[in-house]
Amino acid sequence: MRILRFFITRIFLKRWILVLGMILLLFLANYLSFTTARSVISTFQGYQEIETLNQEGTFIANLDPDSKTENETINIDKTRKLYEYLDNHYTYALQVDGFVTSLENEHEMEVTFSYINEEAYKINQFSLSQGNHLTFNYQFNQETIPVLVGAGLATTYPVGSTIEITDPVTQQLVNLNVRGVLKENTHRSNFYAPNIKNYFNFSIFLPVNEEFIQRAGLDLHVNGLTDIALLDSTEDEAMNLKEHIQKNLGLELNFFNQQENFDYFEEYYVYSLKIICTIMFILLIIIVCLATWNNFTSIRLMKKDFTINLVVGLSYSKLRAIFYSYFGLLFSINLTLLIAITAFNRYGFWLRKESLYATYGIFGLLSMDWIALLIVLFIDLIIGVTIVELTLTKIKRIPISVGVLN
Amino acid sequence: MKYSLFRFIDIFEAIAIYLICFASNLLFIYVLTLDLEASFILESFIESITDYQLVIIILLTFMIIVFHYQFLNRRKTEISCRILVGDTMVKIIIRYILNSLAILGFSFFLSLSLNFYLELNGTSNLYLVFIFILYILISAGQVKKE
Repeated sequence: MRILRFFITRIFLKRWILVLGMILLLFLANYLSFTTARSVISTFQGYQEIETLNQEGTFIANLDPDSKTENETINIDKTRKLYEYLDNHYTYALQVDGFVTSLENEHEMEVTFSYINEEAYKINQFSLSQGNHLTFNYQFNQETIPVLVGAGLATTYPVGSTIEITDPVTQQLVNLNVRGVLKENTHRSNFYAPNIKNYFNFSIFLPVNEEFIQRAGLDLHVNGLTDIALLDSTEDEAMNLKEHIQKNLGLELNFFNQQENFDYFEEYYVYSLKIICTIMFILLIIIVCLATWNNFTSIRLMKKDFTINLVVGLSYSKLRAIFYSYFGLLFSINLTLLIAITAFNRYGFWLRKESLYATYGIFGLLSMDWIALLIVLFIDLIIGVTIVELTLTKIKRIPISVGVLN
Repeated sequence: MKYSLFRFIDIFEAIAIYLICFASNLLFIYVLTLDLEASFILESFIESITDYQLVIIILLTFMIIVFHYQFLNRRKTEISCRILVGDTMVKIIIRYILNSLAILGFSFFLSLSLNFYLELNGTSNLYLVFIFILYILISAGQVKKE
């Protein structure tokens, strides 16, 4: 320990610019590997969520990218009729998020409504931390609507409390009864960017039944259609619905079956992740080369110090241990910095009141952040071993006499 | 480069670091021009890096400070010897600045080929050139003898 302190304070820090340069380079390497690892983990998590929906007999709708919708062809009467048709002929899962409302809460966050029907609720199997699951057989405007609230709203609106609010999609004053509280960080991944997630810590889950849909506005109807999933259906039924929607609303939706979705996602994800990993690998190689060069220049300048210590009895194995400890220290500084920056970024969502991204976790970090940090630690080990061993080889090549002469 | 303090390996190292900085900056600008809407995953990943574009580039330019620092430290004995045989400190400093600027200029012109290849504006790297000139002028104050 004493010799390590001697090397750090008397030899390395004597040329602090080189130490700072090394810290900056290693930080860049850590940041890039962290971003990549987190992106890959998040995509993988999102893919697993989508897999639960992507079953045989399920047809997931998406708006055709070439579809040119004329808004005047869509009106509330037509969409109501369409949902009536859907209720009579199909089983479908529907979940629409992001309807913002102002509701008092201790964190002064915007509260969003997430509308979910029974089928979508069954498929997603959301976990609760308190209370009971949703029921869907309520009478709209005659009784209170049972709802689930996010973990961030649990203290202001505990289980059993009633919320009186104007519902954003029906524009009617409704009484909501809190039935349960969603587990912290309950989320939903974006279908086409599974690494992007909406967190429901400040959301209210409102159960949607046939009656509610008929009273809802155009926004819910159209947004719901573009993400709707037909369950226990066939190719012909899906095609019929596609034609029906196109004929009545002028919306061109595609309904992909399990195999088509699987092929699409497989190709899309694998392609994206391959590119991400390639970019990261190239950047890491460049940074490691720069870091090795930085360390070699340190050796050039510290040649005298190293050789003198070697002459007075320092062994190469001890020098190796000193270098490993030194790099361990640098990596620890960088990892702490990385944790602090990530925690600050997560906290930033709270500061900016972005309720769909505000999350809970140890130091504000989510499980995927910690897994990504573990991967960074592993990459650091590889980088550390590479640089230290190359440096040791370089030092061993310096003849002791040349060093002493210096 | 007559009477220069720079050897071939120093010139090579400096050019390599300059080119890494210039190329990184150009690649950042290039990916921002790409239409990545076909892949949202890729788009959000690239965004998480390009959001910190300036910070990353400035961190990379620190390598040039490291280069000048170690270079001038290693040349202290040579500077003392030159002064012994009749050279002056002022002339050494002027030569050092001019040589450093020549290496920077050469690297910049080399990087222009990447500009043309990626069809980017030729002035994209100019702000880096100003930063590097600043580094050179500051490091000129560190030209010292043993």
